[in-house]
Amino acid sequence: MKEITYLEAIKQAMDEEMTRDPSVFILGEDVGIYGGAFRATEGFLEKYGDLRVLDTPLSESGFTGAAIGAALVGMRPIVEMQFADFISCAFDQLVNVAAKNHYRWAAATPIVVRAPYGGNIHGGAFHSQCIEGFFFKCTWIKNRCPFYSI
Amino acid sequence: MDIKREDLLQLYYYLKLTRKLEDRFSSLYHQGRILGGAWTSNGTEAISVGYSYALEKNDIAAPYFRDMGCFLVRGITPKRLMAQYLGKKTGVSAGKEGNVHVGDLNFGVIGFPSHLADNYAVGAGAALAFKMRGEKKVAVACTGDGGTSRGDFHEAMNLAAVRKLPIVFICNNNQYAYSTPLKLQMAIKNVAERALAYGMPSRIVDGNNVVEVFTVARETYDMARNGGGPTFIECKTMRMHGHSEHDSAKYVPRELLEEWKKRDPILQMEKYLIGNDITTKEELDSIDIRVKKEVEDAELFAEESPYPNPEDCLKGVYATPIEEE
Repeated sequence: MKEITYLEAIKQAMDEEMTRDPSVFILGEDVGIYGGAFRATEGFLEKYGDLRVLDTPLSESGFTGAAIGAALVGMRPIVEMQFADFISCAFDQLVNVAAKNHYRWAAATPIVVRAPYGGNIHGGAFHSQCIEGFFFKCTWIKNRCPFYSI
Repeated sequence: MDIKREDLLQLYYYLKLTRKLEDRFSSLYHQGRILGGAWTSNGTEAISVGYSYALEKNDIAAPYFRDMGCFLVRGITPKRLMAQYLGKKTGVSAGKEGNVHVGDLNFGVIGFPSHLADNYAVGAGAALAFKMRGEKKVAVACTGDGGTSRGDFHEAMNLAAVRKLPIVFICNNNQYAYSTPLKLQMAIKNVAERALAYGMPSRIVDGNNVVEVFTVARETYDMARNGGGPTFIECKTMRMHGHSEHDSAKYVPRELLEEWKKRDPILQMEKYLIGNDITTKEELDSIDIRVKKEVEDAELFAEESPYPNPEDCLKGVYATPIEEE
């Protein structure tokens, strides 16, 4: 099996899904023109166009809410938090809206939120946090934290 | 005014149905028969009735908690809503949630989260999906005057304007956010001024005039549907009850309420319909009788419905994954 980095694996997975399913789209800060702060969506804008690779205004809560609304009407959004730390700005939309929709009124909310951290970039207090712990208490959100140690 | 007679009568019917149903919720609350709180739209019914009645069937509404008229106009029945309030299994949330914190996508209604203006962003997302798929549908989202101070309001307005999304944002400006008057909420005269900062057109309407709300909503939906982008509509009105039914609203000057009582939306609509020879007092009376019966039937249905089983509270935490085809 070919060895690739996490970044390459994530990029490949998103690329495959976007090719396979037209309802999959990506939104977040600098995901389009720049190709993502970590280059996870490099080349996607050219390949899928600016309605499926959306550069959003700097507004984590707003675009997470928008992803929820799009998911409720049949889309399959992938939200990119530029750095995992910024997910705190979208906490309300995630734990009160996305997480509880199905339990409260039987509406599935299939969104994927990517929250990269651990890039060893010496980011300090606002670009280095491991945020998964914030969500451990939130039963309704599925936490996935892939890692590999040598 | 290009509105069919039958539509005008339907607007009246939904105003009355909303008022009567919520009056009943209020009574039941004071009798201690409601689980949790009871919020009503008393005095502001024309807003949710008007903006909802102007939607097309496949459009989406993302209401807020004073939008009982939206649930009813979109087709969620008084029976299910009464059962919802009484915590019954036949309620919209099957007994999992109280009162107004629900939705039903079968009727194009997105559930309301208490955190105000969250639904502005969610509604914008539905509009974004319509735009991506090239569908000629619109979304409408609503919040109160207080909700316009929150970040989600501003983030959603900005996103919708930048991407020219097919959405109309409604503000139920009922002068008070719980006990906080408008002057402590914002330093501007009209909430609509907020739209200017996003390059979004806005309209100010009499929120107690259902015909006006309906007409302006329809115009702005048409514009959004045809690629013209979003509009913000400020509906000026007055909350005639407390924040919730537990709240006597002593902080609201009585004379202000007396003034607004004269502008009651149902009273205005009756005058409009009879004054313009659109209908007769007798015809309106027959609608009132129908409404009364529907509310009574709803209560009977809810009373006879079972409570959910205790084990039901563990169900529905996760959706069933969609299988690969």
